[in-house]
Amino acid sequence: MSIEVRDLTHIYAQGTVFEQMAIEDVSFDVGAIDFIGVIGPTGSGKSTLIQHLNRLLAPTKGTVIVNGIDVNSKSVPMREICKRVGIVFQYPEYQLFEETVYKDVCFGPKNLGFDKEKIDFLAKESIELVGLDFETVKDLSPFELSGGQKRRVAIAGVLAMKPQILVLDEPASGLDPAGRADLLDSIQKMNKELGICIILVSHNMDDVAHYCDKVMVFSKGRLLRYGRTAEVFADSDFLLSSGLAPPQSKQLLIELKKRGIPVDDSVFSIEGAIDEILKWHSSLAGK
Amino acid sequence: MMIQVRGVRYKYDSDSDSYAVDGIDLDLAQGEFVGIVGHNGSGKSTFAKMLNGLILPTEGSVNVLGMDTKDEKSLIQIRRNIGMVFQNPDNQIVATIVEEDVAFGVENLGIEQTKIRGIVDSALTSVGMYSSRLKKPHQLSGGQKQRVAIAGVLAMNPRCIILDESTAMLDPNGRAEVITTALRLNKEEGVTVVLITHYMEELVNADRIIAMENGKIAFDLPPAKAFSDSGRLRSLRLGVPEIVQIASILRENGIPIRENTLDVEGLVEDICQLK
Repeated sequence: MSIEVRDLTHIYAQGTVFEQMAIEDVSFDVGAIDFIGVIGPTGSGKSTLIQHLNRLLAPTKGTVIVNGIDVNSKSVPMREICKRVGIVFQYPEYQLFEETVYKDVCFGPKNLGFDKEKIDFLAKESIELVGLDFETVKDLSPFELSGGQKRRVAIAGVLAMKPQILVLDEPASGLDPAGRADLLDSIQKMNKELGICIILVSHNMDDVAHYCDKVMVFSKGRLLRYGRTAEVFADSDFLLSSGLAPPQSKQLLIELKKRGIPVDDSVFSIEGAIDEILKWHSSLAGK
Repeated sequence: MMIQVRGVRYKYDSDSDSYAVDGIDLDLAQGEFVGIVGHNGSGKSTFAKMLNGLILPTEGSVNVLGMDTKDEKSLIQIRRNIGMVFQNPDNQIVATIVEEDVAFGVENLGIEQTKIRGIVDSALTSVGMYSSRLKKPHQLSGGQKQRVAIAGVLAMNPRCIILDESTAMLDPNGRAEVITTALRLNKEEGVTVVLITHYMEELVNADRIIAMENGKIAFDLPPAKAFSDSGRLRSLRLGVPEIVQIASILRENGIPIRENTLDVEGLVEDICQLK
């Protein structure tokens, strides 16, 4: 098991008039090579949760164990946690600061105290991993790059610390559809080929349906549902009642079923929706 | 004509040969709802900023209600008529109370205090945020913040609103709120809307979709036509809404789906006709 979260509660500004419960009694396990989607409306506690995974926030109550280490134990130095859990926040390109792409990506591993040779190797490896050509970009200023390239460099900077768990908060937002698919494909490769555990926070249900093996659904600070993506997305009533917008293909099947057309609305892909409609249509001809 | 663009080119670096906007001619009529799409770096945001004089063309001209954006004396009048809402809701709210934020622009116009109250209230009502008028911005969701930003623009009584990827950072509900608000302003109050987005399904109700590529207009078509060529959309690095993909495959399989069916409701109607 790579992450074990038990009874995690976080209250902001406890004891003041601004007191606010952000997450409440959340417990879950994440496997070493899982690819997990975290979904839920704005304000449901997703960002608060991920900041607990590398001690950026301390729990009000509960524990977070990552690869056997208690993240909040005072005897564990922060550096040990950063080595294990990398977090890429929203719009990470705003955090680029160095003169060259190479230096920016080296910043993390340098702070972990690796030697020059290892840092060099890690920087090259990470830049290639996010789909950029090392020789072409290494000496460029991060500010000469396009938005999508900057985003990739920022992710490379986190990857260069060799995390076992990579948490990404809306990594594809603001990218065009093709850029979005390219980036998520690279992330999938990190999971399938390098065995990095991925936790992907996203508002895009289509992306989660397509890439994630399992999905967590948050609402008002509570973990409402955690299971295989296919099972969670199959439950139309649940998706609608938790204020999540299912993919259009699924909305179509839900509406058709309401109108009395016998289709299976647990399906959530374009191909699946087409099959369901064609099946129904050919059954009409038979009558 | 609301906006008239003639032979416009723009480059950020005067020494460079590459133009961010490279030869655009365009007419936008009063009351139109126009979508602008294009991949990152295609020039759409640069172009949008030229429509209200935030960026002035290197070559060519932009006319707003007959005023040239290069004429400094007209700029204030142009910007009052064309409001812009940007991507990040947290970067465009300046006051600590919702209604004060909406009043910010109007107060700077020198309108008398007694009238400001009415203007602010009606702008907030128009975006469905009147009941939140005394809230603090941090108590609002992303979609609500963007609607407050739209109200701030509306208070200036513009003839045109440009939404520059204003839905990019929002969750599905927030996106729906902003799109519904924009459509209502357009249909009921006749405000011209220019919506820049990567989400093609937000544009199914637009009058025209303009696709940009390398600073030029790749196509300018009504939605049904724009979505009909998925190969062209993909070559421009754009997506095709799921419903449009499903409709076209159903059609290939001999099921009669209307050519202008672009959303869930339309496709449900078409399919129910077969019962």
